[in-house]
Amino acid sequence: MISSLRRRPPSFAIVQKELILRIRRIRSLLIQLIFASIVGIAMWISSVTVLQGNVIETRSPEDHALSLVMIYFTIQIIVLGLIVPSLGAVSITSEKQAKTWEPLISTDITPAQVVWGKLLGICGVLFYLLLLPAPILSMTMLFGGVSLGSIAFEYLVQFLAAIFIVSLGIASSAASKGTIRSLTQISLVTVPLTAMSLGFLWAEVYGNEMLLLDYLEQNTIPWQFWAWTLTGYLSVVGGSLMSASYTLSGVESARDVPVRVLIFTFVSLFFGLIVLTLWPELSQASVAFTGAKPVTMDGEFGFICSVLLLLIPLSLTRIAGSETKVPLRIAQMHQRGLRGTRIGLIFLPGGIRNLLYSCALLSIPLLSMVILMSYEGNTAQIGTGASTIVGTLSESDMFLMWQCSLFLWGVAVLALSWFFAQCGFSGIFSGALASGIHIAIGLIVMTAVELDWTDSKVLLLESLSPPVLMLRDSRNFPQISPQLWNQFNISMGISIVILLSLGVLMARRRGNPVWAVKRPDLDRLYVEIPEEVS
Amino acid sequence: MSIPRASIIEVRDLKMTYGKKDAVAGISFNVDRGVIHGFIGPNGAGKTTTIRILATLQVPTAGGAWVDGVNVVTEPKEVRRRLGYMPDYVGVYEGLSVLEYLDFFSRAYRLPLARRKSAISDVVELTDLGTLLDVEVHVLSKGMRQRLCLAQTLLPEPDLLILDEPASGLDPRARIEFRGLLTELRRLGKTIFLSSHILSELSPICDSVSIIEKGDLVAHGPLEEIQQRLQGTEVTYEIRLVAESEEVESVLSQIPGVSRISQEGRKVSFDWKGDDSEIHQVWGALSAKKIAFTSVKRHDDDLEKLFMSLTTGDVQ
Ligand SMILES: Nc1ncnc2c1ncn2[C@@H]1O[C@H](COP(=O)(O)OP(=O)(O)OP(=O)(O)O)[C@@H](O)[C@H]1O
Ligand SMILES: [Mg+2]
Repeated sequence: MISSLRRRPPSFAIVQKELILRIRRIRSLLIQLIFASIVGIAMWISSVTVLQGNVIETRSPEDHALSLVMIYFTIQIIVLGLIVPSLGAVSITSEKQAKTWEPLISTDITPAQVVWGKLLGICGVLFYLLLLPAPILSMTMLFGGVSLGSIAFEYLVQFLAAIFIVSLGIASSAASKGTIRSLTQISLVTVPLTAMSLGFLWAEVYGNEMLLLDYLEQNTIPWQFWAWTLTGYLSVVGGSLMSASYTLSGVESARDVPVRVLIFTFVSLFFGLIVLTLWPELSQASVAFTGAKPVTMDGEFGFICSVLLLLIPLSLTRIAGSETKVPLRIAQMHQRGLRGTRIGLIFLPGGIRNLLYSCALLSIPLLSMVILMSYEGNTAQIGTGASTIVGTLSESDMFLMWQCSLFLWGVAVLALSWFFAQCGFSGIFSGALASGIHIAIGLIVMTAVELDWTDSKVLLLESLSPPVLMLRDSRNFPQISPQLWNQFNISMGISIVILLSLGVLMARRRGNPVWAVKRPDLDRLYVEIPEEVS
Repeated sequence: MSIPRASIIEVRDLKMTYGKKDAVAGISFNVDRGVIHGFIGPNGAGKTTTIRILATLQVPTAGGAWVDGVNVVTEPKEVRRRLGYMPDYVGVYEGLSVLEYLDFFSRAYRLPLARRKSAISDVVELTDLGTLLDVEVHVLSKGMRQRLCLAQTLLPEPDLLILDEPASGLDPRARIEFRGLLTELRRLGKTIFLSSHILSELSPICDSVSIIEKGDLVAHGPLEEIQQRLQGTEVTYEIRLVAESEEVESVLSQIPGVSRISQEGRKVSFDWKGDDSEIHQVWGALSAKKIAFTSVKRHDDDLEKLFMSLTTGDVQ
């Protein structure tokens, strides 16, 4: 019987349950009524005011129909922004709070099936709800002027937006203990998103008497836009759903590995797209304005890249400082000699791999910058003469060198976070602590510089926080003294070495392996049954 | 992958540490097939922790546990297929009817289509939910909910049922009915491992018990065996005299094995330490002095007594 229970077609149990529960609720019937009547009343009011103001004489019926359609979809978007986030956000926390979660995962249903089931169940009801007032919409067809295609497209965009928001909601629901927390998280994302899209719609599309499809037809959209949007959309939806199902599969499971691979792929894709987008512009620029300073990396773009390189380490501290113990399942898989765990060693969580992986992520933006620089070509030779090291380098090379020391700073931040994790702090805490310390150092340095301390002291202090200097003199890197550059690298190098050694020491003391994919603390777990104990 | 084992649950040196505190401090025991096994201990003894480890919801710190010879840590999925687990607090999907609820779980357990109907009607019959099939789950009483949850865990026909305090919150009548249900399940060949902190609720149906306190196993074995350990300990007798007597205290105090005599009007109670077969000495001595009594009461709440004597009663 046990073996016959395996390998069945996908289970629709969850979808079915969600649909029954949601559609049956009287509350949802009420929502349906309220929703349909809001749309109806709004459209009726707008019709009446238009008629009373005799605008109808100056406007064609087609225009009137168009404005009704716009009102209709605007209301739909507002409702989407209000209802949809909560639907996703409560989906899994409600099961945890109602204590139905453990019985559920004790069945043969996998977390991934739960996540898919929830998504389909919620979106099914949602699409139904969105289509509910469609009969009202169909009346506008009587006026003509609005094509069925553009209405369908409008609906398609809304459905895609709904899937997007619901996926995000499920992910935050899976990661949170309580409903309140996931609701807060998700509204922080969706409220600005809804406001922004409404703003865009009215400023660019509806405001110009167009529907989305007309807008796309009238404006030629560069292929990069589609590439960005599609990559972004798919990564967010896919990433949320995947991370939701992996978050739900237990702390000691192998869930981190796919999430790490996914993050890595996403970051690579993201920066790959940046390179692809900027490349034509840069190469064109260097052809058109040789010698001058057009769109070069050490101009505006360079500044943006530097800021990115400054912010990325702070967002990666969470990964560098994550749990230093290898999850049990991964240690077992590795011990069994599973090839995947040998090849993708860097993606296995735990030990110093957390630091290496976050550094690998950090190196992606640096790498893309190097690629970009190689297309820019050398702009001008500078010779400050102040230093023997950088005296005869080009501006581009100088810029790259600064980016490298910024990278080194990033590694130092990550190493600090990693060190805290070795001391036993949780991921969020070590990350926050490391970022906080570096922000504090930055503030102190900035104050010191502003107070105009004596040169020697400033020099020493400044070398502790490269970002401050990068931001202050962002647009003319070559002017920063090469002496300082040396000092940066030395101080960052020293702090990395110290943090690494201290971290290794702490890990040893706490019995956590630094490199080995092992769980010595669980070595006392039995695999085989020891023979009779009294 | 698993060799058939004599015991369905095997626990070896199982340890669960939270911070510096041992919730379970390295316990070892076996549970035989086809028995009802009581897992007894005061609040905070580590019952739920042990049970959650067995149900693969938690990874222990050291030691190991096997269900049907399958390791709960290394092969949790296999273990889940072999046991039905009912947590101490069970939630139900409010808004579904009893039948829909069971149907949902039969799909969740991925029972083949052909077997779903018969599996549902089997468990419905067993748990006596037949008249409630169309009732919505949220209007069910606590006792009925408990039955529904048991029905749900029975759907995939597990050999082992692990129930965490199934009788808590049930009224005496529901409790007795629930016991009847458990004995019926034992008759069907299932092993039942259930926890409780109320001894008397288990003593009528248990074949064997483990008593746990502060994470340590203080007793384990067949019920009779544990009861025999009581032999060396004291039993309280209470007798009611026909008429008040001054002599009774001095008579009783001369008999070896009798201690802690107390008299309250016609009611006399004393502790008896010794073999039950020797108690006739007491009755003989009393009748020799013409002290008549109308009733004898032996406080034979064995398990309760055992529980009190084995545990210090500290609630953690
Ligand atoms: N997640 C946890 N973190 C820290 N300590 C815990 C945790 N879970 C349980 N404990 C502690 O472990 C001990 C055993 O708890 P457990 O729930 O197993 O007891 P129990 O025997 O089921 O008690 P009760 O009869 O109250 O249900 C308790 O002292 C409890 O405080
Ligand atoms: Mg408990």
